[in-house]
Amino acid sequence: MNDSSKNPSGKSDRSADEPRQLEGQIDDLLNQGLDREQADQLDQQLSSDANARRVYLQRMFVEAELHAYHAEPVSSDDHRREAPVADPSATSTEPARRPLSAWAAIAASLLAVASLSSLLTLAATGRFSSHAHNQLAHSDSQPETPAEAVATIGATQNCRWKATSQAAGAGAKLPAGAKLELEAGVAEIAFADGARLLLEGPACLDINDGHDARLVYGQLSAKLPEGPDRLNLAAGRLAIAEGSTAGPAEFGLLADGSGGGEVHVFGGSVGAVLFGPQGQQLRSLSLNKFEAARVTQASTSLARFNADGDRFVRSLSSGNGLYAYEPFDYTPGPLSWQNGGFGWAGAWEDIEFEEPEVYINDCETTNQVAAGSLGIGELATAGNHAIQTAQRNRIRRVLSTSIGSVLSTAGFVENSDGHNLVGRDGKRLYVSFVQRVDRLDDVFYGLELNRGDGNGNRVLCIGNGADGAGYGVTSNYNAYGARNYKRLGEETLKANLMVMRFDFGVDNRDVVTVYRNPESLLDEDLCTKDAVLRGNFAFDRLSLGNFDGSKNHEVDEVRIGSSFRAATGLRDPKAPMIRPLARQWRRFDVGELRVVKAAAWLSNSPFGNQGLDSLGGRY
Amino acid sequence: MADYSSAGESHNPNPDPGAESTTGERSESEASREQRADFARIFAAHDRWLYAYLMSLLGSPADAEEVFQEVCVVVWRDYEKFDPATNFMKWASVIAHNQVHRFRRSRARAAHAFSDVTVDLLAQDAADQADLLEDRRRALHGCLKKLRENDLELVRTCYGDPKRTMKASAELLGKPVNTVYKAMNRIRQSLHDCIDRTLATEGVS
Repeated sequence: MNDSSKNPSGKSDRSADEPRQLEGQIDDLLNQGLDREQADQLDQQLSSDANARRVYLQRMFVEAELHAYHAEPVSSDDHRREAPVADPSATSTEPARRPLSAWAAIAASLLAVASLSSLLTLAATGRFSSHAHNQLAHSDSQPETPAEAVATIGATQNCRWKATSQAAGAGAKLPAGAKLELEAGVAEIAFADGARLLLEGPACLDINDGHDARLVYGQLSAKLPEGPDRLNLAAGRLAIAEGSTAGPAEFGLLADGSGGGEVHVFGGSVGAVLFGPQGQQLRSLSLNKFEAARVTQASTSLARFNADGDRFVRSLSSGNGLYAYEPFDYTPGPLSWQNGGFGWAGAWEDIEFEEPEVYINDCETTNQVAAGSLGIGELATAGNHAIQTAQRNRIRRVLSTSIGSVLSTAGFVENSDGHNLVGRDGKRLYVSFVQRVDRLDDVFYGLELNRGDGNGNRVLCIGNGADGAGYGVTSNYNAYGARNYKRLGEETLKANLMVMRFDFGVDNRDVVTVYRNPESLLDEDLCTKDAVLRGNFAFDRLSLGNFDGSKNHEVDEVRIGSSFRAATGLRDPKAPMIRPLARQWRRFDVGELRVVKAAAWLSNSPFGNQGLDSLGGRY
Repeated sequence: MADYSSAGESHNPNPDPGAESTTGERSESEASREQRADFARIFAAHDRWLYAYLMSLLGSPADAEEVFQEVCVVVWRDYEKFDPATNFMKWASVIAHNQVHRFRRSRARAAHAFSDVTVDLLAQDAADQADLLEDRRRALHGCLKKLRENDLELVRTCYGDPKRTMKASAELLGKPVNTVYKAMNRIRQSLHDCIDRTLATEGVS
């Protein structure tokens, strides 16, 4: 290491050499060339010599400044550094430098099915025909006073209800005669006898009373308890009855809205009864586990086939882990007031937008929906995408974080000063999206996560130009200075898939890990961490911002889930592991390290070197 | 700074409880915002000192960067406890010192550059000499301009990424590691000599 402890004559001159020896040791420390023994010597000297500490501190403060000053400069010109918070008056005299399908959530009680005999009895007495079979199930006469609840919405997952639907938030009490029209998502409906239905949108369910419900269209899964006087359930011309064996039953039900229907049995035994147009019984079948029956609109017979358990959502905690999704599947035009996807508390709302240069119609804005998806690699895409075409634009959407929301039910929501924020201690959450711009380093743009509106509440921003930090990850809320904002590598004009992992810690000690164009959409361990930030990152909304310059800012496929796979859109555990990875890296413009990592993973895969060969023999 | 808060937020459909009341009285939350803004100004003026303080105690830029963010979480959580009439560096250094010990406890002892005793002594001295160290840090910028372009390029490469080792920098430059070591030692010394002269001229040292 450093040999500066000898004077020109080669003899040790302790008194004269000590400062140089100290400086040499400090240099070695700074060059990462200090071994343990030398480190112990330096430690001993520093602990015993105040002058040595003074020299050391002087050197280290200069060294720290060299790191701070030279780390990824914004420009070669010195200029006054921008303050790290939302206060435009905050400046520094420093020179500028860079600154989320198994059963789990359904309660134990099961849906009651009418026995075949009781069903016939009911038909003979007219009760069934007046409720379960006939289309007259839903009476036009509505109670004039609030009726007694016969069922309850136990939980919801990403539900969007039709405006004409019975008010149906989590915990809502449902009176006899309630009509539930679910456009999207899954809702759990609990009956007093313990029956549980999972209604999967789009679907319509008429709840005639506490013992009788009818699936008008769509599908549901049901768990029925054993017991007398159980729930009568019907779909089209199909009615469900008790099967060959008494006891609890689990099954799925479909209705095409035109009289056709199917029943798939997953547990126990149920009876399927086909009725004619006048309500007469035509056929009946007893179905056991893994059996199904179908009736078409004009058929007079029941077709038996194998049950398809994967066709139905059978648990609210299905394991797919996707809690919010925005595919931008809207007609091209204004994004504001669009209210699709799931997991959101409301529609997109313009915070600000510049007038368009050319009006195509009166409702034109510059926060828009544009045709097509921002496809990238093997990422599953749907619908269109968002685009900001002007430079004073921000549009935001609030997540559903209220009690009973899926994020709350899943335990992700904490109350912070009266605000429900996603970020409960000990939870891990993933957010992903696709982003693209058409000009490089063109001032500010970003996908932002906020805790309330306002610049100071921006807990995270991925894009370019925030606080002068260039292309990277910034946080106004944490405000720890531009120097500590993380760069995300070289900005490109290609679509980029960003995946952020939030590890919410105790006492607001959260950690965000960012993956830009992750090498694998399936295995997080194969992906390079492009940035890691520490701070307080709980949030409740998302916004898209585009300011200054002349670029278009595009965003697509926003996902929030509890797992890496949920966030990357590939949630099927049976999906082939090899395909996404191999094709992924070939499509992406990734660095050599990532390719080597992918190749290394392939060489250990069941495909072995064949997998490497499929990569074109380049590696 | 580049304030990309929407101008439209002044027309926010969601009334800001912090907005000025109709009686003209400043609301409590407005005062709180001002306090936060004042604190931000103070913080912005000293964040590099804070980083340097951490690097001195930890001996590693990468560790300093990690702890720096932790310190910022605490500093911003407790900013209302800071009295602007007092010394920010001393207030922040106490927080930083505690975070350094917290960080060290989370790491294997062998990974520590210094003993707890040395760290505590360095922490005390850094706080006591804060102004002088700050003067040296500031003087560095003028001295950097006096470096030759080749040396400046070497400095940029070696300090461009806190996670990049000197060895990796040498590989990046295509030069032997020892050559880079020696060059950096020489450059550091010349910078310190320049800083000494600058401060002597200013009558600071």
